[in-house]
Amino acid sequence: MRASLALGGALAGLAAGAALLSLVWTPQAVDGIDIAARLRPPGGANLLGTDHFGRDILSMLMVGARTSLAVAVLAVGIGAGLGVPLGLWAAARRGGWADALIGRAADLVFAFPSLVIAILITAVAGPSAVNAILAIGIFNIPVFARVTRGAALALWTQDWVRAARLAGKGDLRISVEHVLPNLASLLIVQGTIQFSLGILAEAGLSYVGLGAQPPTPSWGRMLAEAQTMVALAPHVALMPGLAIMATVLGLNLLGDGLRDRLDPRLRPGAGA
Amino acid sequence: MTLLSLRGLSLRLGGRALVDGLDLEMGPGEVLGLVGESGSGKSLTALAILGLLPPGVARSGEIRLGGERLDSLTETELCARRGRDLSIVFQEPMTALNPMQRIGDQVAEALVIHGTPRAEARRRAADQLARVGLAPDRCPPGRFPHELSGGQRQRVCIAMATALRPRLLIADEPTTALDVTTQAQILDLLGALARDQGMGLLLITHDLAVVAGMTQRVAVMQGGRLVEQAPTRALFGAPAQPYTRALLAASAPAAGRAARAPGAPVLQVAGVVRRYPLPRPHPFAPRPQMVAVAGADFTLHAGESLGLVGESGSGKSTLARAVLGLDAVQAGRVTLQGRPVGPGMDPAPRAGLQAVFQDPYGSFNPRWRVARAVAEPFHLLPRPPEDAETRVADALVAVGLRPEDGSRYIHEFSGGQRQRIAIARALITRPAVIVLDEAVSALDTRVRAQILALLADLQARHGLAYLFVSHDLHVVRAVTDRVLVMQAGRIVEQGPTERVFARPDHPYTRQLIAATPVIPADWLAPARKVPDALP
Amino acid sequence: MARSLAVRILALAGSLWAASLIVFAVIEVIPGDPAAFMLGLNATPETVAALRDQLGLTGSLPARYLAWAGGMVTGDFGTSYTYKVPVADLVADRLAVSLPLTVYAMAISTAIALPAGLVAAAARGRAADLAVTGLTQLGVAVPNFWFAMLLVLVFALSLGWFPAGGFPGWEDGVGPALRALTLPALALALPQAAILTRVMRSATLEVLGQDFIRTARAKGLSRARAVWRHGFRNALVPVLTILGLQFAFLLAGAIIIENVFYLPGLGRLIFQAITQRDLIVVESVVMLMVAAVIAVNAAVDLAYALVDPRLRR
Repeated sequence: MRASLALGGALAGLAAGAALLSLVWTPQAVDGIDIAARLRPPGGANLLGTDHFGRDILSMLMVGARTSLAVAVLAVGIGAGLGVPLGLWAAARRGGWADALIGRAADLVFAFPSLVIAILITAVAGPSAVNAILAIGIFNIPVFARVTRGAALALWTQDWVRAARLAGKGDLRISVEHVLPNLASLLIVQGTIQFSLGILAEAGLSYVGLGAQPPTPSWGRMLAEAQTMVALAPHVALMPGLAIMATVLGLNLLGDGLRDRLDPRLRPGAGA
Repeated sequence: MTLLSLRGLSLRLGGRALVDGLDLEMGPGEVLGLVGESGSGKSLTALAILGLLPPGVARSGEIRLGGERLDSLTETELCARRGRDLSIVFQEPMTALNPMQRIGDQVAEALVIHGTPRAEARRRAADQLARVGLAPDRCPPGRFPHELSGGQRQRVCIAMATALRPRLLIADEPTTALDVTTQAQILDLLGALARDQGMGLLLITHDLAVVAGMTQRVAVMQGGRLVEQAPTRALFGAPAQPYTRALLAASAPAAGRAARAPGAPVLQVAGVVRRYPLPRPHPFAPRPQMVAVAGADFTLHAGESLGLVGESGSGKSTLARAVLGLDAVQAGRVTLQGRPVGPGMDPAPRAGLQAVFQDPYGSFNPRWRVARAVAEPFHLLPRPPEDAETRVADALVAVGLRPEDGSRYIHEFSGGQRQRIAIARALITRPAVIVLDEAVSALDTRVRAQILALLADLQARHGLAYLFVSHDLHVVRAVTDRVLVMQAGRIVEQGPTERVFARPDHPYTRQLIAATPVIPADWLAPARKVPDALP
Repeated sequence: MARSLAVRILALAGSLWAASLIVFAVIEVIPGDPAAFMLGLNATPETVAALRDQLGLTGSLPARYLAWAGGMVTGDFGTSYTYKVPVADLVADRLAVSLPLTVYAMAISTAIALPAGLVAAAARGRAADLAVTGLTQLGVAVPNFWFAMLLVLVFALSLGWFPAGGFPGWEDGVGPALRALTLPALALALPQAAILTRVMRSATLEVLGQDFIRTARAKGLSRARAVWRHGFRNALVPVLTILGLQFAFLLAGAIIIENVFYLPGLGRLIFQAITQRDLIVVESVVMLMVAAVIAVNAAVDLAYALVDPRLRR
C-alpha cells in the first residue's frame, strides 16, 4: 500500500503543483486567441496542442486545475466545517431530539444530488463558480455529518469516555478531547474522497454551464467546448479528461494509502 | 483403539510457533478437557483438527481420526467428513448462526450436504432441535436466530453439530459467552449427548471448574505446548507442573475474607429506579418503558467490599452507572457522604467516586500517554494540584508500575497492566468509593488473582469502599464482605457474603449458586502455597 | 409488517413534504418576484402583472404553496411560460427518455458489479482480485461525460455500431430506441459499477470473516458453497444501501449525459428552462427528481426488510 500512497501523492501533487505554478507562470498566455494556430496537434511549442481558438491546452489545463482544486477544497471545507460539528453534536446527544433532527435533515439533503442543488441555485442566482462551491459543499455536509456521527457513536460507548465523564467532563469537552482526535484519520480519508468527488462534480457542473463562467478556464468547460470537434481533433477532448482522471485517481489512491497507514487497528497509537 | 490422535502438531504464523509439537490422544466416547489461558493455542488446535485454519497458518505433524490421516486428505474429502465424522461448537452463539436463515433450515443443511433428501432432512432437523431442548411448540424451527436467546442459539449450534451423530465433537469455550445458569444447562446437554451417542467430546475451556465437573481427563496447554495431562481427579489432586499449580491456585474457591467491623456509611442508594423509553410501536402510541432497575436500596460503608451479582440483563450494570452518577435516575436518590450523586453533580464530591471498567483495551484513549490519562480526574479539582506529576508517579508505583511508564502509550501494555493503570486513574483523586464494574472479568485467571490481590492491598491501606459488580460468583465470594443479588431489575437478596453463599434465602440465589461450576474442595491437594501476587 | 409499512409511508410523506417546502422556498421566496425575473429587465409592468396573475402569484405565500403542492399531488404542474403547454405533458414526454435511461444504466451497473465484486472477494489478493480492484480505481476516477465522449469517438464515429446521438422515439419500436440509449447507459453505468463493485467486494469480504461462515464450513460446506449460500445474501444488505444512493447519482448523471448525446430527456428540458428562465418547469422537474430519489430510498428501506429478517417487525 506504500505504492498507492506514493503514486497517489505524486498525481495529486502534480495537479496541485500545476495549479500553484499557474499563478506565476504558464507556458503560453491563456487569453490569447490565435485562430491561425487553432487545433494544433501536441508537440513543438504547444506541448499538448491547441484548442479551437488556438490557445495552448497545457496552459489552459494548469489554470483550470486552479479552478477545480479551489472549488473542491472550498466545498470540502464547507462540508467538513458544518458536517463534522453536526455529527459530533448528534453523537453526543444520541437518541435525543438533536440527533433525530440532524439525522432527518441529512436524509433530506441526500435527496438533493449536488447537480440538483446547483440547478436550483443557478435558476435563481445565475451560474458561477461560487454556485458550484455552494452546491457541492451543501451536498458534502450530510456526508461528513453521517460519517462523523457513525464513528463517534462507537467511540461514545468506549469505557474511556465514561472515565472522562467520571472526571467531570461535559459533552463538548469530551467531543473535542476524546472523540474528534480519534476521528481524525477517518475524516482525513473521507476528506480526500470528497475532494476527488468534488473535482468530478465541478467538472460536470462546468461542463453543463452551471459552474465557472468564461473567461475563467475550467476542465469541464474545456470538455464542453471540445465536444463538437471530437472527430476532428480528439486531443482537445482527451487532455482535459485525462487531467481530471489523473487528479481524481491520485486523490483516491492517496485516500486508500492514508486509510491503511492511519487505521488505528493496523497501527495502534497512530498520530503519536 | 484411539478416536483422535495428534502427533507433533505444530502451527506457525510467519516465523512464530503458535502450537509447538503437540501430542494428544483421545479414546472413543471419552470426554477430554483441554485447558489453557488466552494465547495458549487451544482454539487453533481445534481449527487444525477440522482443517479450518485461518489463511497463513502453516501446519505440520499428524492428525488422525479413528486411524485415518486427516492431514493428508484433500479439501473435498475433508468436506465429506466435517459435520459427519467430526463437528465443532464455537464460543460465540450470537454470531455463529446465519442471521438470514431459519434455524430449522440451518440444521437441515447439515444433513442435506451429507446426502439426506431435503424433506427428510427437514423432519429430522425438527426432531434434532427437540432433542437439544428446543421443543417445536415453544421454539419452532421456523424461527430466525435473532428471535432466540444466547443459550437457545447455542442449542441450535449443538443440534447442527450433532445432527449426524459424529464420533468426535469439539466444543470450543461453548459456555464462555453465556450466563451461569445457561452454562450449566448447556454443559449438561453436551454431557448427555456425549453419553447417549457414545461421542467423544473435546471440551476446550479456560475455566478449570468447568472441566472438573465434566471430563474424565484433562490436558493443560501453555504458550502452544502441552504442559501436563492426567485423569481429571489426579490432576486436581496432584498437579505435577508449576503452571498447573498456579492455574489451580488462582481458580480455587478462596476461603473468603475475614470479618471486619463496618465503618461509617459513605454511599447510600435509596429507591433507585432506572427506566428506558423504548421505540414507539406506531407513530402515535405512547413510548413503552423498559424498567431496568425497579427500586434498589443499599448502603456501602467505609472500607467495605460490597458485591453486586446477577446475570446479563439483571440490571446490575445499569444500577452501577446510576450509582456513578453517569445516568439520571427516574426515582429515588444516590448520596455520597450525604451529597447527591447524578449527571449534574458538583465536581468536588464527584472526585470521591471513581470507577474501573471491564475492558482493559477500551478504557484508555489510544492517543493519550498514560500520565495524561491517569491525571484526567484532576479536571474535577478547581485547579490542577501543584504536585500533579508526583501524584501520578505515586499512583503508578502504588499499582505496581514504574513512574517512567507514564510517558508511554497504552498499546504498549498488556491487559493486566492496563487494569493497573485504570486503578491508578481511579485512585488519583483519593476517592472514598470505587465502583469495579466487571473489572477483572476480561483477565486470564492468574492475572485476575494478581489484580484482586492489588485491590485488597489498596483497600487495606487507603480504607477504600468497593462496589464490586460481577457475574462471577467465585470472585465475589472471595473478595467481598457483603453481597447483593440482582434479578430482573430487583435486589432479591442481600447479606454477609459467607451467609448468602452458605445459606441462600432466595430461590434465585440458590439456583445461581447451584449452577456455578466448582472444583470440589476435597479434590484439591491441601496446604498449597499460594504464589506471590505480583510477578 | 403492516404497521411498519404505515410508518414508512408516513415517513415518506413527511420527507416529500419537507422537500417540497425547500424547493418552493428556494424558487419562490428568495429571488423576489419570479415574474419580473422570468421576463427580464425590459418587461413592462403590465406584462409582469399579467404573468403574475397567470402564475398564480397574486395570493399569499401559504396559499401559493398550497396551490402549487396541491397541483403537484393531482398531476397539475402548471403551464410552461415558454412552451405554453402544461408542464405535466412536457415532463411526461421527457421522462419517456430519462427514466428508461436511468433504469437501463442501473441494470448494467448491477449486472457488472455483483459478479465482479463476488469474484474479487473470493479471489482476494490473487490476480483476478487485483485486476478488478485496479479497474474500479480507474472507473471511479473517470468523469462520465468524458467517458461518454470516448464511447462516441470509438463506437459511433469510428466503428459506427451505435448512433452518436439523438433519439428516434419509442414509436419505431424498442430496438432502435434501446440502440440509441446503449452508449449513454454504458457511460452512466460504468463509473457507478466501479463503486458498486468495491462495495460488493468489501461487503463480501466482511461477511466471509463472520463466524457463521466458519459454522457453515464446519458443517461440511465447501468454501464456494458457503460463500454462495451464506455469504451472498448477507452481503446484499450494504449493497442495497449503495444501490439506493446510486439512483440519485444516476438520475443526476443522466441529465449531464443527455447533453452529450442530444437526448430529449429531462436534462435537456431543465437546461433549456434555466436559460429561458421558465421557473415553473425548473421547479416541477426538480421536485419530481427529488421525489423520485426519496421514493426509491423508501423502496430500498422496504427491500431491506425483505432481505433481512431482523428488520421485519
